[in-house]
Amino acid sequence: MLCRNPSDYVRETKKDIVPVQRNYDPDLHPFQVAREYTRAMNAVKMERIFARPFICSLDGHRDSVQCLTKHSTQLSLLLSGSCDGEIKLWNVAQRTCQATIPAHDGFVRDICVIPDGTAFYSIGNDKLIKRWSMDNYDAPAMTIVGKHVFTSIDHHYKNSQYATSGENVSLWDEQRAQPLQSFKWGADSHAKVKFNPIETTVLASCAADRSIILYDTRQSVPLRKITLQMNSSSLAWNPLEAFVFTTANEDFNLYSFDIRYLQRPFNIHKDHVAAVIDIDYSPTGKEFVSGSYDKTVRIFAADKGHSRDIYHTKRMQHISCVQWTADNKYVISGSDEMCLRLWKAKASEKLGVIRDREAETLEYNDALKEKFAHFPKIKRIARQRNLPKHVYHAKREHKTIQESQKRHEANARANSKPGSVPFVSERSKVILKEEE
Amino acid sequence: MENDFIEEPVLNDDDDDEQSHSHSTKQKHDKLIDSIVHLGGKKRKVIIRKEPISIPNNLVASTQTSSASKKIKSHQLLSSLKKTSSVQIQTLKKQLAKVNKHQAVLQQPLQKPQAEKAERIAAYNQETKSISKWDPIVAKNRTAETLNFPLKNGGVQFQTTDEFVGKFQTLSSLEKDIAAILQSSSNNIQPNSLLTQAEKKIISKMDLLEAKQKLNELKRMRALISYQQAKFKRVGKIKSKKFRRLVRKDRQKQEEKDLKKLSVENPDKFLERLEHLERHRIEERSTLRHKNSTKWAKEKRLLSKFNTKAREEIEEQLKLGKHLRTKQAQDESDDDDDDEDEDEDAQPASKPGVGIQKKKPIEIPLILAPSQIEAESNPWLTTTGSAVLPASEYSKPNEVRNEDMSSSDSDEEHEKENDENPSQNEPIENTESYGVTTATKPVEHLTMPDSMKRIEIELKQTEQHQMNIQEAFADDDVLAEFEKEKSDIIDHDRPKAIDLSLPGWGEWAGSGVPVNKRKKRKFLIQPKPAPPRRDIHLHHVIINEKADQKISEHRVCDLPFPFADVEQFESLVQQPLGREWNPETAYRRLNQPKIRTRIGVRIEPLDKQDVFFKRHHSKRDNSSLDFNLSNNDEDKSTADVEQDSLFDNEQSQKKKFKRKQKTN
Repeated sequence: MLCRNPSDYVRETKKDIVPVQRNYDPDLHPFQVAREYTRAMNAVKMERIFARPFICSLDGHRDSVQCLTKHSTQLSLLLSGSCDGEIKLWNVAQRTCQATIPAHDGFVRDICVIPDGTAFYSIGNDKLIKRWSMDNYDAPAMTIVGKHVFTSIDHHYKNSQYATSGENVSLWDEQRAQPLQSFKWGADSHAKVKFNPIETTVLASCAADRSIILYDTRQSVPLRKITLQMNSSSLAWNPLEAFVFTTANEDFNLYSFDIRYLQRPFNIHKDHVAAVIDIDYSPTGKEFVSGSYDKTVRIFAADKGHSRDIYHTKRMQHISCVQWTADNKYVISGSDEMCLRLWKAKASEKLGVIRDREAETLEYNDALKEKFAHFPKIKRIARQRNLPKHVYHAKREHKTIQESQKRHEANARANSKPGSVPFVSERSKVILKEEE
Repeated sequence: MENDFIEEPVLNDDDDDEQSHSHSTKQKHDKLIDSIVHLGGKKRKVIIRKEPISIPNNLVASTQTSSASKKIKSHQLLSSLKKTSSVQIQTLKKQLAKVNKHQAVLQQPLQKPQAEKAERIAAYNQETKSISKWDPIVAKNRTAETLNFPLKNGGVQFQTTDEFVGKFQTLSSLEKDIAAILQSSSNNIQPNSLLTQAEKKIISKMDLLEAKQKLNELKRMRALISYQQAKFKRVGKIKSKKFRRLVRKDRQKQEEKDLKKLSVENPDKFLERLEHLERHRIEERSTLRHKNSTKWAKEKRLLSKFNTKAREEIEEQLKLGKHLRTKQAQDESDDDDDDEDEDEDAQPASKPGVGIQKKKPIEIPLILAPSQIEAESNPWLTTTGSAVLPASEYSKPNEVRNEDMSSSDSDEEHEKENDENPSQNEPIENTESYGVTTATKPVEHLTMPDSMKRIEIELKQTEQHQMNIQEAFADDDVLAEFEKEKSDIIDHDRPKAIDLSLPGWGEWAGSGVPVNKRKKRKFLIQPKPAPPRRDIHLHHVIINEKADQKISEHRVCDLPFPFADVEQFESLVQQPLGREWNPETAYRRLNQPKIRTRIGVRIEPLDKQDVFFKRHHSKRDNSSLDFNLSNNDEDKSTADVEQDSLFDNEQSQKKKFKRKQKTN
């Protein structure tokens, strides 16, 4: 028998919370899936409606931006160097330029901030390494004259060591004017050197002979060298997985490697339609951002082969540097037309204060989107992006090229002795050789 | 420049004298032949370009000079000194011979590239080995349901009770006063003494003999307690399963004995106890089966954090359990009965517990019977298994019959039992009969208790039922109707020709004039023939082919990647996420995001120190704590000894100390 006591469900005051009686028996809810599907559809449409990732552009450089670094302790501080030798310090929260330092003659190649955030190093085409204090930008705290042009610099995550790349990869101490150690293995020029954020003694460099070389600061020799089909322009270590790094390659792809199995990359990330110039991991290690010569920024899930989002504007030119901010909220790109651009890492995310109930709804919507992600209508809406014309056409062109290559291979296989044209996986095609 | 190089010999080795000689003669010979060849024709000089080897091959040279034949031995050097014979030279020779005797030649060091390669390989192997320690952490982070960033949140700090208590401070004056009074009390136990001040006073005031007695008593008690504690500790630490089983059996035996005693002393309590036991057993049955509590399941559960396969296996087992429970509810109960029988059989007949156990099936139903009947008569109280039954009655009459037979058996049992208390007998039987058979003939059932007769009646009933249906629908021609409907639908679904001709358009005459044949043909668009219908050969079915056209756009046609089979995917879709279908806690758990970050907080990369050394640190802390505890124990025992020495002589003291050591 049903009986209800009004005192159970009639509110005494306005703020009274009344328990809602529900029966969760699935037989009583025959339209449960249909209702949730509708909600998922609405959620995914809303996501596309609210997807406005671009926040602002930071302009002020008088030449194309060459390098970009986030501060090691402060969230809102950003350093950028341009091709006219200027370094600018930006306060991203206020969207203002804090300081402008005429640092080098010619390009500022790279900047790195020391772990405690009190100083930073810059290198330029003038063969100088300059140390700047955060208190005084008038003159460098220290200047080291190098023997060759440096291309990149990176600081150790714990020690007072830093590494530079150029003709060789050198390891320096903050207290000394001479390198502690220099590694050289075949290549006459290195484009990038990066320290591993977790296993802090390990570092990797991209060399000009299409190779990637691993080092350990405790060893006197490099560890291993792999040669790829084409040159790698940059690389980034995963901040959550010690043995994973991803390289940005000039063959439009990004390759993720496990340093224990270098025979082949464990993932190939495709989507760019021109050489990938820079890459940076999100601090959560689940995603990374890449900037390319095709004037777009793309965001990849670290374990997926294709990008989840593409950012572009009409005015943005070739990207030279990208960074993912340390709070996992924003992405910053620097490009040839002298601007830094600030983007949301999640295009449809609402900025500002979000109340609990709203947050819950957003979480529910996200869960629904994930649950129904494979349904064709929802998938189509979630994936749809309007591409710039040149990207669209280039993409189609590459598709035809790849198809034709595949066709040629299949024809060769069909018209030759069985077994003479073996199947080679895409991933193992990437590596030319692994040298010990 | 080039000429210089060309003139230079390629290798400046002494061994090649002969070769060079032969080479020169050969050259001369070639020249001669050349001149002969070119005597008649045009003179043409072919210049052969020779490339110099700019780097003299040191390695080759060094290996050749260091060949064994060219080596100069030490005694050869000394041979030149033969003429000048002196004592010094003799001694020198002797020393040299000694040295030569014990000469162990070191291996030639590897050449530089090889040496570096070896070093690199060693370094790389070391690196991969050391970096592999991150594997479990990476796997954990990859499979984690949610990751809360920043991962480093200061860690959890545990407080000991002493620390916690130490934080309290007296605040008000009243509290201070109370604290002071409490502190000054002589009844407080001081940390390093066994007796309070008051006790000490009392003991000191007693005469020696009495005090000794008192103290002995105290000591005995203390010793007993400590022995017991030590024993419990030792027994508690034993991990042997065999031992545990033995202990369990002992306990069971003890309980049985107690039960027996109870049956004689207090029958009411005994019955209560039995009922309790029975209920307990039923509960355990219903909870333990297929509930992942087996050893295998436990292992799998441990693995399932990182292994999706194991997770699936567990889910499968749960599913199986569910399936079994819903479908074979009746069989399960039968099985249970069998199990009980087996249990009883397993115990030897001579045991005293058997009598009690055998009484059970006679006595227990008395308690349970009313509840069973209640369950059958009241649809709200039935379990899922019995709720299924009425639906199956139509489709499977055989099963129903079996049901009846079993219930009749139970009836007989009830009758037997109820002979003892006839007051309950009649109402029970009435309700049962109404519940099972049709309501039209309760009298017959009562008059004919034999189950076979009842079956006959039921068969007759069903025959009659069919006859009635046929009579009722005698006039309706259902088949013809169905065929007509089907042909209509086929006609309707057939693609039709589109007639675009307009009557009167382009004609000279007005209305009523028939449309030109040519025009008709021209403006009639013939449709493409439709693909054959799926029900073309099925005369008794109509398949609606247009029904799911709209919905099919919304459906998934291929199985998405991470799923192994369709069932898995469907179960995911069927699982609701919303508040309407889930309780609050489940709602929160189902919808929690993969990554949680906080606004304005930096996320630092993983810290090696944090991940590995913290664990190590905490372990060490624990061990140090243990060490402290054991120290305390030792302190205590020594303190005991000190106290003992107040009255006891040294020998007994030693004995006790030894005994304590043994127990420890």
